[in-house]
Amino acid sequence: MAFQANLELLPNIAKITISGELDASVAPAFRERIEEAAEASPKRLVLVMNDLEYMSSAGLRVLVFAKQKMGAGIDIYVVGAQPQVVEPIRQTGFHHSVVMLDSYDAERIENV
Amino acid sequence: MDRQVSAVIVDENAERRTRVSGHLIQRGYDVRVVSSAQAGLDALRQQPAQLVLMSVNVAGDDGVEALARIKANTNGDVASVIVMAAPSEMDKVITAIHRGADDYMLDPCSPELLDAQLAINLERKYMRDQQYARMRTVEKLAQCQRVGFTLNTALSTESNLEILLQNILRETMVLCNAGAGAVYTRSENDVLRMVAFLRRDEQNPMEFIALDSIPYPQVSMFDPDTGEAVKNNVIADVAHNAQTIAIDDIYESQDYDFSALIEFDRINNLRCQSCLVVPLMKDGSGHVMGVLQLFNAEDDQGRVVPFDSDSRLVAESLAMQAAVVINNHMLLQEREMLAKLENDIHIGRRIQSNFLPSYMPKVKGLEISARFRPAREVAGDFYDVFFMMNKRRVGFLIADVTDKGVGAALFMSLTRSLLRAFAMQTYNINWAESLFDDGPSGGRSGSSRLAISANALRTAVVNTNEYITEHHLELNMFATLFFGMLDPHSGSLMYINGGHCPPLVIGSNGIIKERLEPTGPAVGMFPGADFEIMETQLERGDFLLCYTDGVTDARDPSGKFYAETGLLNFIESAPLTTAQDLLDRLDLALRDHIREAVQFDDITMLALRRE
Repeated sequence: MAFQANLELLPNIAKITISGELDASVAPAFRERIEEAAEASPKRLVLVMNDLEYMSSAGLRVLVFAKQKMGAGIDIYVVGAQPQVVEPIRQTGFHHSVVMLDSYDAERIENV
Repeated sequence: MDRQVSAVIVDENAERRTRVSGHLIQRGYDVRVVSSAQAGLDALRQQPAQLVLMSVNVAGDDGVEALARIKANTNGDVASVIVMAAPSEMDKVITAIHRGADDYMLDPCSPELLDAQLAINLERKYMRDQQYARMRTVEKLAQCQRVGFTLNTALSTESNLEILLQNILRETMVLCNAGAGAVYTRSENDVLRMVAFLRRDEQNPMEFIALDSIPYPQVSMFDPDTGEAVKNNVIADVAHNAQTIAIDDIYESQDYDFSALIEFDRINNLRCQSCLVVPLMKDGSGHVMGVLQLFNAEDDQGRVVPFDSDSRLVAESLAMQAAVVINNHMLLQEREMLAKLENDIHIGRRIQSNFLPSYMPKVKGLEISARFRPAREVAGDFYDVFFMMNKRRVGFLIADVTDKGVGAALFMSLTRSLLRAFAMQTYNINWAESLFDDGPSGGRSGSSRLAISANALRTAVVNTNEYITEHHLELNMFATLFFGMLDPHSGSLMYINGGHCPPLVIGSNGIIKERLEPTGPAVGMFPGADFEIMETQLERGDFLLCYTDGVTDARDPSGKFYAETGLLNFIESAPLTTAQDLLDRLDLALRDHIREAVQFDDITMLALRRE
């Protein structure tokens, strides 16, 4: 499935829904969405990954970029990531930098 | 012809003047009447006419000069001259015809005969005008060819596309006598960007001024919201339909929205009127690469007129040239990019291969084997094997740097150098300390040596992480790595796994004894990150298999990953003999999996076996 990244700007929240396979060839598109999200200066970045089938280290690198771009005070939520996507995030220790949620918990996420 | 025929009567004979003009007016002609050759010339200068009826007596005297001047008009709009004479003046008629008169009329003559004669002459004039127009077109096309030739030669020296297009625009404007013009090129996302704009210099009409200070506008061919083709913009419409469009007065246009241009006029006190929009496409290709737009065609008197069919032909011919130029330029750019990419790959590959150990240290009781299969694009895998602790330990590491290309290769070399340097540095300090050790054996106790080893390992990784996060955090690059330090004598293995896929400890019976899971994050990701040291044991006959995710992420032609399960299945089924044999077989299994699919990532493997 082709990679897709859709940005949605809610009050105080930037929500990016990514799907398909995130590898080096499409990582720049994901990075652009992150940059657009950062421009809106949200208080929270939410990455919805329910339909993300694969993430290579290039994709992970964009997550690292997102963390750095948003700054320390902005929480990043990774929502609904499948095991094969969680694996590289955990393996590299990046799960310490983000909040990992199994499903979209509106109460918790949108209560900024 | 629907347009009113305009005639000038030049006659010193007042009675005939009135009679003939009355007849012509009755026939619907626009008639001006004068009594001298000079007045006739003045009248024609003010406004051209299709017909001149001239008394043979005027023609015979200073009229000869007037006749010559009427006929010498070079703008193609030459009036038909009919001399009027009495039957007794035939010799004068002959002279006049020699001097260029088109026909004669013997007076008095019947109105029917006059009508017939006028019709014949008008028809003849129409034919003559047509022929003249064709000649002029041929001439202009010949000129286009010359322009084309100079443009083609300019191609070899001028590589700036915008300057090239500006040159083409200038030539087109000269040939079409346009007051202003612009060129748009089409980008990959179907946006037409203005890349050149010229307008005639009012002070010096032979010169054109480029407008480069304004932000050049751009036109989307498709509505960004609805995705529908934009039709109300003439530039977008021409790009869609690949057809030339001429508009006599944009202020009157019903088809297109020119409000932006009209606003531009208002601010700059200009008046755009006629407009010609031509698609830029290669001959017969049908693919529109851009659009050429001309404004305000001027006639010889400097009045703004609609663009005629000649201009259209000329502009289309030059637009084809422009399309060829754009195409060549794109090919050139692609070639340059490709060359740069090849060069990148070449440099990256060289950096990478320079840093891979050219030989493996020979260690008693330990077999070490490595495989490195690079992807076509340079990725940042590397491995390293070296002695530590005065050859009492073997240090080895395998690492994977995110991203590809020269950047990744440089980052890889930096990481590798830092790790080695920090590992060696720690060792040297500790070795120096050991000289002053006052213990009874002159050496360290087992436990303090363990502490030193652990320290060496941790210092190398922590310092490397600190250096990278301090100096290169903005690169967002990181490396996953496994750094091990083995005592080949005892089989004791200390390691740090910085976010790397877990190496496998495999017993000689093929059973996987342990996965060496991460003990810290990837290196370069977090400032101040801590890396735990873990310890395990390699028994005699055990294998340690380290690999990068190029192994598990290897895809078959249908896109299926080899995955860790593929690796585990392989190990279960493979007969284990030596480290080299293990890697040979694994390499074969991977090749068998990938087959004709593209290998996207470096495949790197490092195997150790305690003998």
